[in-house]
Amino acid sequence: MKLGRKSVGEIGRRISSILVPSPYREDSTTVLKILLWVLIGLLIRFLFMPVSTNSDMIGIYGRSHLIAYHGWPTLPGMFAMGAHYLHALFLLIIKPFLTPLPGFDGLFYWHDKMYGCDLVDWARFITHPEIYRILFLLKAPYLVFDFACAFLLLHILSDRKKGLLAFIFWMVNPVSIYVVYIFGRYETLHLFFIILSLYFIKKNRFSLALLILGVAVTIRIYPVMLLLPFAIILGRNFGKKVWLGFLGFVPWIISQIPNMITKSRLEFGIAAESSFSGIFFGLKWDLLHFDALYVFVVGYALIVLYSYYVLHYSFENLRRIGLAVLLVFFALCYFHPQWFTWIAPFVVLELVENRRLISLYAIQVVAVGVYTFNWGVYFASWLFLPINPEFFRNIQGMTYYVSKIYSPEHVILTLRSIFTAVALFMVYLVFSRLARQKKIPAR
Amino acid sequence: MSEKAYGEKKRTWIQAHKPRNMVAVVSLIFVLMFLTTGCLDIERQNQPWLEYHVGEIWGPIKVGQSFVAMKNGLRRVSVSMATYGRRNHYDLVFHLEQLPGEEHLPKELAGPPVGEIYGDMKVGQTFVSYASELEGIKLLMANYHSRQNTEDVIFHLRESPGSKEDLRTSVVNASKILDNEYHKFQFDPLTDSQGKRYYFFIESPTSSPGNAITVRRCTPENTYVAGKRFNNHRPASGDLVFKSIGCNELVRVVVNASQIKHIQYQDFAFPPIPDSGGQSYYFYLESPDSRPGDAVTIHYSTRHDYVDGERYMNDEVAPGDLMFRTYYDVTLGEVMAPFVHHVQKDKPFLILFILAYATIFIFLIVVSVKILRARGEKRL
Repeated sequence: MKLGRKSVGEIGRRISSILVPSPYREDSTTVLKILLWVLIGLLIRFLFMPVSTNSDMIGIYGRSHLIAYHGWPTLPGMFAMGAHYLHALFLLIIKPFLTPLPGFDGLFYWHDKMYGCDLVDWARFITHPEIYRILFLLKAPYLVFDFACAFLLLHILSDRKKGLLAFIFWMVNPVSIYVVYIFGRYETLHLFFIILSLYFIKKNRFSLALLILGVAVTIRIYPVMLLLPFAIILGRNFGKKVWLGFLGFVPWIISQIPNMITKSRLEFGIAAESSFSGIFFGLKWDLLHFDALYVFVVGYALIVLYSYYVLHYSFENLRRIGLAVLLVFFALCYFHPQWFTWIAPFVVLELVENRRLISLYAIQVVAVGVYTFNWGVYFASWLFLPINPEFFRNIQGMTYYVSKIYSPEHVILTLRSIFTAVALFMVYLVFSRLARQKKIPAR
Repeated sequence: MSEKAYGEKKRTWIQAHKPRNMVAVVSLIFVLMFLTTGCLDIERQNQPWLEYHVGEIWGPIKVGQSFVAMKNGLRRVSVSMATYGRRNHYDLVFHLEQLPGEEHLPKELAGPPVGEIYGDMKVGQTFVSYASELEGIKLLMANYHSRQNTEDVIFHLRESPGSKEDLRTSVVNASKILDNEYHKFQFDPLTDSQGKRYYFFIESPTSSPGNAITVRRCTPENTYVAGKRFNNHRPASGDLVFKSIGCNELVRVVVNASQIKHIQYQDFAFPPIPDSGGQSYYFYLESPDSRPGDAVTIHYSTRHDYVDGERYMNDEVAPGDLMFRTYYDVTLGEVMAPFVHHVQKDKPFLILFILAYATIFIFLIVVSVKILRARGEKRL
């Protein structure tokens, strides 16, 4: 059966009706604008997908290939198994495109080095004859989830102008482009589940929403910070709050079944002892003698208490609390620059309501950009080693240029401090908006 | 539409689209920042480890390093320096020469002496000058355990053993010649001497047995392949232990010590040397006007051997290597050439990718035109 012009148009309309909600389809210009920004987003992403990466990306694919190609049920000693199972699924899907490649069998396999590859393996990987195809294929799943996030935002925001602004922001957000397509991290996977969770919250399907948020927890641990305030805001009574909180852990419990069967250590114990858990306790104020405060814990507890005693349920309140939690985290805790993408769903939903946040977010982006100087060439020129290893390996880091003018340490820490100030100011703006809501009597 | 109304509409449009434009601009800045990071030139880090410093560089002290340029377009040398945490005031002079200022035969090759040089005896050597301005010869000499030798020693430089005419001469009293040390016979620079063959010899007509100096031969013999030893202008076996000294200076950069930052790389930039790839160079730093307590120093390391060069202290080879980096001008073509070559190894993917990218771009133009048309229709 040949596909005529009408059939192609019909297919396009059907795809459009699934992806683009009806308020946007009512105006053909809006649909065209969405398509325009989809194409711009694709052009930008395609530019970087085949030519840049960090060793972290082949680290997770390397671990996941043991599940996909060697039948391992779990990875002893690893946490975030949801991410590994998803990557194993991706590897199964793209296997037909990888197997014809020379040296395929050795592409991901490092003897006894399950957690990551060393420089020798890294050099071997990026000099593979088909490295550009491999990088493109490995990042293709991230692209799918990235665009799914953008279209989900349209479904969350019924106002056309706000939805279009959110869509455009998502398409050109420099942090996402850098982290996912240049650095090669899988942040769009859990961001998709978080936005999906917000979508179901807006549809008043709270149980499903918390289950999906729990899936995000199995991919990245940090959404566990959102579980508690979400459960508190969404639950009408104490029992419901507990039930919703439990639902948020169910996906994690399911992901631990292979660990239980193989009698490996449970992920919680590993996560608790990992360096990530220590991040929450980094900023400590000593009081006297043995007494001290963990500042982030104080801030987080204040937000949770505010959610419990002051807030009533509304989608707007919930997403603002989610934004506040993450802003406090980034303001008061040590973080890796690529983690800054976590804030994107909450920032975009807030900045379409409050345009002042755009300039504040821009300042944060610049500050995070300077913050990456701490990691030197590993977060800059080394990402482009697949293009020309000799050239990019020998490029100097930005701290060299900064040192011509001033102490790089002072510059970086100053920008980091400004970032914290902006984040805390954004928290203030968020709570100002929350305070304008009609208050209900204290529980 | 009146001009005022048009201006008002334009302001409203700009305001409405400001957030979107700001997002796009910020995105572009961010991406450009990372794309342009370090794209100005390529660096070669030759010695990453910080270990020792050479001591204060003042007065006659010269600290140098030979190296091989990796690429064409050598345009900057950076050296790890320290200021002792104080403000120093005098100029530091950076010199870059194409080859080591000396072609050297190390003292370790010293063999037996040729015998006392007196009366008609003439001891000579042919050699090839690598310097563009030959200005001296260092000869490993001996004075028989520091005995008192009182007569003059005459140095002659000629074009060949058969030449009768001296190009340069130099006279030194034997009492100034140290035992088993190089003695430098300096003369006015010979310009355009690079690659040319010369012959030098020394004699001491007024010396006598018991009151004469000697020179040392090489062991093993025939170590220096570009020339040979001569006795009374007749070829003899082996070679003398000598060094030719010349000036092949390409670059001279003066930096005041007050501009040098403590434990940081100091740049010495110069116009790019287009054909530097694979060539041997030698740089040295000196600060003739400095004095102890008001001088800078340079870091060196012994941990990793830089196989393509050596460190020098006052023209003598020293252990370890200086902490330095070299920078080269690279064109975009040179950077992209390996990429273009690599990408052609996967032609199916290359073709598909280009097709997909071009298709997206064409669709982008089509959609943009449709949007502009729709806007135009709306206005009408």
